[in-house]
Amino acid sequence: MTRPGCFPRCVDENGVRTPAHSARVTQLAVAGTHLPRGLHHRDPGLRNCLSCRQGENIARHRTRRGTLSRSPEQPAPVHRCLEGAQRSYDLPGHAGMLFAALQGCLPAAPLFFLCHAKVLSQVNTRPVTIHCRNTRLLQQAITGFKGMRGRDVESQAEREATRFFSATPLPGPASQQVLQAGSEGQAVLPGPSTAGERKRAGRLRKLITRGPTRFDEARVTSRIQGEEFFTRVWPEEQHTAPSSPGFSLWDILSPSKSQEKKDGEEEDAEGAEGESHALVGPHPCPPTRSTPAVYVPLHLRRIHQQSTLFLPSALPSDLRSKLEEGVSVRDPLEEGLYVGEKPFLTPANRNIVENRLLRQNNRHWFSETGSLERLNTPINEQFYHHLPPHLQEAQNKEPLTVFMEPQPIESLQDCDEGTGGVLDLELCGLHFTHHPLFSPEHVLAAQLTQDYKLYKQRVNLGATRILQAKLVVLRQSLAKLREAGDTTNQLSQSLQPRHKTAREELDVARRLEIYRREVKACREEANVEAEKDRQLLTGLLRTWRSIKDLRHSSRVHATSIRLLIRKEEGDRAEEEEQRKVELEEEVREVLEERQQEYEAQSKRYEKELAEWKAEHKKRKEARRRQEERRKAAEEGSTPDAQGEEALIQVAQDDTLLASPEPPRPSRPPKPPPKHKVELEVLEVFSRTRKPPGEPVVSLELTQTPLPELHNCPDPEKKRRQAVAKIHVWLRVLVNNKLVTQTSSTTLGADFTLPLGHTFRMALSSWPRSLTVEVVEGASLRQTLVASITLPIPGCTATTKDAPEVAQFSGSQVVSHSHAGVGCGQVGSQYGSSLTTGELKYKLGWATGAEGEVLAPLGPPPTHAAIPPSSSTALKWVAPPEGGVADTRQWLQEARLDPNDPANAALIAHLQKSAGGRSVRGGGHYLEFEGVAGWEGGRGGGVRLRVLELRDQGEPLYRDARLVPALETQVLRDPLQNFERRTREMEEEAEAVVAVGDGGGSGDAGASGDGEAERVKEVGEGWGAELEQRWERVEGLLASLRRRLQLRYSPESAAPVLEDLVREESIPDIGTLGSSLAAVFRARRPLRPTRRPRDRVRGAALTDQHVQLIVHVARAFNVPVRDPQQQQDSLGGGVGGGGDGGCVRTLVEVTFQRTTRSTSVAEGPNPTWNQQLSFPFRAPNDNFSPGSLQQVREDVFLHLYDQVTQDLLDDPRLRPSTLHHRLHHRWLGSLTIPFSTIYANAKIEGTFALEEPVMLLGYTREHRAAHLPASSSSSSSPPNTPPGHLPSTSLATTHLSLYITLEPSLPPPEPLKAQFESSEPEEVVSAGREWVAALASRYPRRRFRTHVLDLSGRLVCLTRYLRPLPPPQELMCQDSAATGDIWANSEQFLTLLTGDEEEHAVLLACFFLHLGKTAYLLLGSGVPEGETCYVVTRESDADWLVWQPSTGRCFSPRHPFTPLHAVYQLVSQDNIWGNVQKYDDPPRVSLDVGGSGWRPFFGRGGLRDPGLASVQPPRLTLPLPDPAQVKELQERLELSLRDAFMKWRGTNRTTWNRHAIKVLRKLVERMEETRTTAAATAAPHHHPSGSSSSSLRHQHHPNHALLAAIMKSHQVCGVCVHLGYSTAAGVVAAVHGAGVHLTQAPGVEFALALHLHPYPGQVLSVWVYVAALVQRF
Amino acid sequence: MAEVHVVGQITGASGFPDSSLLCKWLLQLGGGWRLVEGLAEGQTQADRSEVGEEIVWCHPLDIHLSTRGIQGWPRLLLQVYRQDALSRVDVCGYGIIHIPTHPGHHTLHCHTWRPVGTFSEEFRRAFLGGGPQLLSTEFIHSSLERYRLSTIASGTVHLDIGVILREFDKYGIAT
Repeated sequence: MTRPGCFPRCVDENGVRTPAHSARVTQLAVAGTHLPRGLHHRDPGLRNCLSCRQGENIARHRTRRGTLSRSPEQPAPVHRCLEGAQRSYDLPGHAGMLFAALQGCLPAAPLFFLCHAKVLSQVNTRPVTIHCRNTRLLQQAITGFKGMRGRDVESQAEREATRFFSATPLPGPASQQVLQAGSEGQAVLPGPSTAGERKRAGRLRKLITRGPTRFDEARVTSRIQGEEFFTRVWPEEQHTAPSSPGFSLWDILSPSKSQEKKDGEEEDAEGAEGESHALVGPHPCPPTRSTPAVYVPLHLRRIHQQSTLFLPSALPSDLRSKLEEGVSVRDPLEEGLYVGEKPFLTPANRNIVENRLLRQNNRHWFSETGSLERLNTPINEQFYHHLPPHLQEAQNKEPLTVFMEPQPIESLQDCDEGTGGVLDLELCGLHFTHHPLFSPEHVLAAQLTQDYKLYKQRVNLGATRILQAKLVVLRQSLAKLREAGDTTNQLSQSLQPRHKTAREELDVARRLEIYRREVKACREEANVEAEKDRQLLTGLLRTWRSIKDLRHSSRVHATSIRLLIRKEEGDRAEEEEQRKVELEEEVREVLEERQQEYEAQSKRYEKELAEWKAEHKKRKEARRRQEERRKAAEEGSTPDAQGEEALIQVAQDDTLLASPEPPRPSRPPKPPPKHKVELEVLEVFSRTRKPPGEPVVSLELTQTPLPELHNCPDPEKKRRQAVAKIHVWLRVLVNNKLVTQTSSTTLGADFTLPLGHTFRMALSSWPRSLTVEVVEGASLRQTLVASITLPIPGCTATTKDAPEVAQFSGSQVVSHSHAGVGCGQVGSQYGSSLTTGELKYKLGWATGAEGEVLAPLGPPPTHAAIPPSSSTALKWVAPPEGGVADTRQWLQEARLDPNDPANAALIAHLQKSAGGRSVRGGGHYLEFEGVAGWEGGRGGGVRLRVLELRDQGEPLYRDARLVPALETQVLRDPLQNFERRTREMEEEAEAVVAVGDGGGSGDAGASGDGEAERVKEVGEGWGAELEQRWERVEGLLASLRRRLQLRYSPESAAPVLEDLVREESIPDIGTLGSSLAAVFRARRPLRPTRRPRDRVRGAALTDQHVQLIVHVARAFNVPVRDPQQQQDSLGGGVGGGGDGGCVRTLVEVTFQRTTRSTSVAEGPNPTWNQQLSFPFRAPNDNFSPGSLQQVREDVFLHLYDQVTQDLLDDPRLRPSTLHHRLHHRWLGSLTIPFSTIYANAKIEGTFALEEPVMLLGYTREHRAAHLPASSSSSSSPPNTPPGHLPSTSLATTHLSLYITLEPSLPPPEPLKAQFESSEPEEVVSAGREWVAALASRYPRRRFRTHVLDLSGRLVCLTRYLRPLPPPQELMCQDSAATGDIWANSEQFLTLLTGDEEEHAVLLACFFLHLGKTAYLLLGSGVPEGETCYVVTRESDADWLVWQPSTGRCFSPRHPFTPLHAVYQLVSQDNIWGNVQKYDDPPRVSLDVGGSGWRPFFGRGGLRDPGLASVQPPRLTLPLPDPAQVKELQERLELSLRDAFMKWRGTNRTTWNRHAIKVLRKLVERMEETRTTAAATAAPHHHPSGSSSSSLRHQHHPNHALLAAIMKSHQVCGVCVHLGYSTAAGVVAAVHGAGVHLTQAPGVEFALALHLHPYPGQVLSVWVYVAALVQRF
Repeated sequence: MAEVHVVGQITGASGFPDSSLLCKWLLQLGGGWRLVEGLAEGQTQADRSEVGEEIVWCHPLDIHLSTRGIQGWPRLLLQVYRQDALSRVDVCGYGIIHIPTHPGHHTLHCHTWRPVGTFSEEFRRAFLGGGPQLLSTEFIHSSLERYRLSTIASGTVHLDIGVILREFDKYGIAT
């Protein structure tokens, strides 16, 4: 609590009161109640103020105490207000502060305060009574109002009150006393007695209850005076002496007595309140005087007002009075000028203003029109944009947004690639405007119709009429202007000569000139239009007449057309009169124009003439001077004195005379005399206007029913028959592909085709083109009349209501013998025109159920970007293309009304453009200086290109992790090579696809030719060329692969959630239970089940090690060392060679340059049971399916025999020392591509090994086979007795394997891309259904009816099969050698980049030609995965399965077939799907007639449509040139030898020439043996009877030679046979044999190579490599 | 060829009335620009925020551009989708923001908007989801069309973007 004694100094001093201080203190006094004490002390200004004024101080004091006693809690707003108030003492808003302060106090407790009523009403809307009996305080408070400048009446009233209060005397002695006491007591609050307080309170109340105060009156009058506040001049303020001493605000507030009483009681209870009453004290002489309210009656006031004020009348004023004298009223509207809209003003208001202005005689406010000069309304009703309004409206029709239902999130992905749209094309009708079957009458009728259309259009437009009306108006205004000019001239001359300035005159002249020019232009234009009208009319009538003539002469109506001519007779005399007037006027005008022209010309002529004359004079003088000089020179007296000036003169003269003299300007022609002009005008009139008296003609074209043809001439009859015969239909082509066509209809007699078809087309992407072809055909032939290209609608364009019209014209020339006129015939009367017509159509995107436009998403192609509607609309306003100058000129010529808002945008735009800025807008195009542009069309330099390629994942740069930062450091050559190669590859691929297209379209002959050419071309190349060829083929393959990838990429790129998020399953009760049960599970179960492993998806793999696990179980039927030879050759040198038939084998597995091998196992049937694991490195550590599919690495498995050679020379050391050399001899190998492992997830089974044709020194154990594996049993399959298993496969070595990936990588999903097909849609769709039906029942089996051909189109499988004759060279062999065919054909196709499928197809074709029952078998096998085999039927229940790529054949019941599953069979005319329970070959019945096969064609399904085969009828295979083969062979052998020596490294390689000679002989016979000897079962490089190989070559005629060598040498050799593709392939094969690894001392080598050519540049390569060690 | 690297992330969003949001973005380039490396468009995951939290995407941007001129400076078109309880999405914000032309690190805020439909559409949107959607994303940046839209403010998408300019000074552009 603040105590009163806190300001001792304030109390002691007395000061002078200043209003500012008082105001300031007031704030504090009121608001300070809530201030902490220290604040007052700290503010020096405040302290001063306080110290000088004791009374206020105390007043503040009182109030503070009073308030605090009532409201102990202090409202926060006051604080804020106070702080504000302290900061701004001297601002005028004191009153506001006060109110704020009060307001802040109010909510806390009702503060009783005496105040002005209006103050209260502002404080709060609540009825609040503020009590404060401290009048001083109130007075101070109101003094604060002084700060407010008297802004309104209320403040005026308050000012009065303030004035009144300011007279309040200083506090009386009593208060002085109290103050003094307070000051003396310092900290003691003077506690006055309650009695005293009451007494004082009572006194105050007495004061209050005095009569009406001056303030009261002021309140009343203020309202009245308020009205006159602004109009009245205020009299000098009279300071009235206070008359009524007992003023109190209580009276103003006049609360009820009871309340007063209550308040009084409340106040009584407050001890502190009493003091304030004591302070105010009794006023002996109150400062106010009570005056009664002065009321001036209304009528008096009116009178007063009328005398002082001017009230303008609201009635319209006189028009004449508003204009300046001598000015006539103009109406710009009448003159054709645009008058903008004025802002709306009520007429009364306008009149008031006008009258006021008129009263002030300010006439310059009025314009010539007699109204107020006002600006046009700046507010435009229309919303403006920089688009022209009509365009806006057009666009407004298309909504920008569409309501979309919430969609599944998958839809977001689809948005990027253009999804399909639905296009609606409605063909409304076709109408020919010329057709070869038109009769002459038709031609005329078409012309008539066309002219009539034009006529109708012109009549509707009424251009002539409008122009003539305009001319009339122009003439009138011109006349008016002339008159006005004359009158003003007269006026100005007579009355105000100085008013009319030269400028105004000039202005009038200019306007006259403009009008004149306009009249001329308008007249000429009108004349032209009228002439056109007239010509059109006469033309129409003439055509009609000729039609009538024709009809008359032929006595037949060919068309139903009829022209009605209506005539309106006019008054001839009147017309003549009118014409005369017009004529006169025009003549006058023309004369005037000519005259003016003449004047202008003559003026110019005079000027020119004057100039010429001056020039001429100069010349004359110069010539004279020259003459003089010449004479002087002749005389010999040279006037030297003249000096320089003379010289200059001479030079000038010379130049002047040297230039040719300009011709004398010709005098302008005299203006023609009047009669000539009249004649001219008359001539024009005759052309443009109808002669007087001629009736006004209006035309109407109607149709009349066509009469029956009974008596028409022959040609016409024939024509009609032809018309009736002809059929016309329309074909709709999208992207040049036939989509649909209308039904063919005959043309009507009027050559129209009512259509009204709507075609709805679902498009997968934006169409590139949309064409409608008009086709007509008689009974047999059909001709394309014309094709119409329709504009592709924009992305928001839907079908419009009004059809659009497309015109078309054909180009063919037709002539008829009957009455048909034909077309395109130059020189004929009627048939010169080409076939033309119009097509009415509606085109637009369909709208969906929700009203959305079903346009394809994605950006439309560039040419379809602009919707046609907007482009045409733009054309309407667009100024002609061209530069700024053109635009400006166009603007001037168009002479747009700049005031018209319709032109505002255009004008602004043009002005801007004319101002030098670019028309296109938006600044000028900044271009980097010094940029060499885009290098090679792509630009950006080599570095950026490399970066780009790396980003695209090109193989060359995929691994380039670091690309140099500087351009100069990037190697350019690889890039250039790369680009060149890419280009070549693309070209190549294009060519191949083109060939494929030819084949695919069923044109077998053409395809055959193409193929033959291709082959021929290939056949020409040999050696290096062959290699090049191979390279190119490789490139082609790569590009094909890339194309396919491109096609599939959208599907494969979309990752699924599992690719991104790995979610471990939360263990639940089930997993817990199973883990508990695992305790009781058998630890080593007898039949262990394989647990399925988790599949790991792409993204989770990156940090993992993927391993390839190869489990090598066992091998069967391994050849053993020939005991005889062993003993022979090696003596006892070989360790373990003691027992015959021993072999110590191991398997070496190589994958990604990692080689691991198993341990050594012994015997012909070794068991290893070893697991080898290899780290798998994905390309670029990218484990996505896409990149894994591109892994082209293979797993190589080699079976070796480990031979231990004892190197110990001294046998005595044997018991104590070991010195051995290990040598691996190759027995066979197996190659499994990684892609097979990846696609199948695991590979399990027993596989046959690829073995060398001859294995010297090894033999098969007869016991091991358990079968009679003799050479006779393994004879060629056709000869195999029925029921007898060919022992072929058991005769080779087999290896049991299990290969998988750990963790297992998911195989890629089968790709389901849609491809187009050139086959009938029903076949394709039926195939789809067939596949779907089968796949749902047998999900593991893969079925297909259509496959992709080279060009990426679907082709039915059956079409691939066709009996093909094998090459004749092979056919000449005996029938037993048929097996050779496919071996060679396989090679042939290998060179042409074939796969199993191609091999199988060719093989099947050959078989078919040989009359066998052959099927194509689609299934799955190892190692190739999904594959294609050939099945032939040997006898009723005996089948043979042929593996086309390797050339083996086996019975389907064989246990070790590479074929694992049979899915379907394909024959030449049907496809059968396997619907048997099992699909493994031994259990599948191959009889397609049985119930186990479901055919594709027939049996309730689709009938065979008889599709043509895609195969050519025969293959042309040229024979190679033997010389070239020889050359190649030599080169190959050389390179092989070189390679061999290189492999040997540091070891010396010795070639045994004798052995080479022997081997070469041997190798040359090999091919012969294969083709002739019946002993070869599968005469391929994997001899099926290899068990007999060692036996066989013993009986071989050449073996004697070999035996001789083997006597002297220990021979270890391998014969490799393969189809030739590249030299590198041969080299690699030899390297794989591993003969070069022999390390024996003194080893010699022999290498022989033989090439056997086959038709179609197929080469069979035989290589025999042997290592020879001299026997000791 | 001057080069621009844009490396950064779409940090997240705030101020959207919905809590499960995803953002589709598209880099728009002028004619003289070429994308050398990186993706020019993408889509963030759908992030579900707790009450009052910001949406966090932290979607990486790594774009390498080359240019012939500064016209058509790259800008990002953003479309914010909300995902409802049934994993259906609808648009709740469109925005466009220019890649800063000044090299260095920038924290950008892209304010977004969405079109307002009729009362019934808004009513449906409030209860059933869906809503008016622009027919073409071109309208996001075309000043020619935008005036016909009535839109409502949506939230803000925040981006942290580092810009590296290269060889601009070679062509007379001070960086």
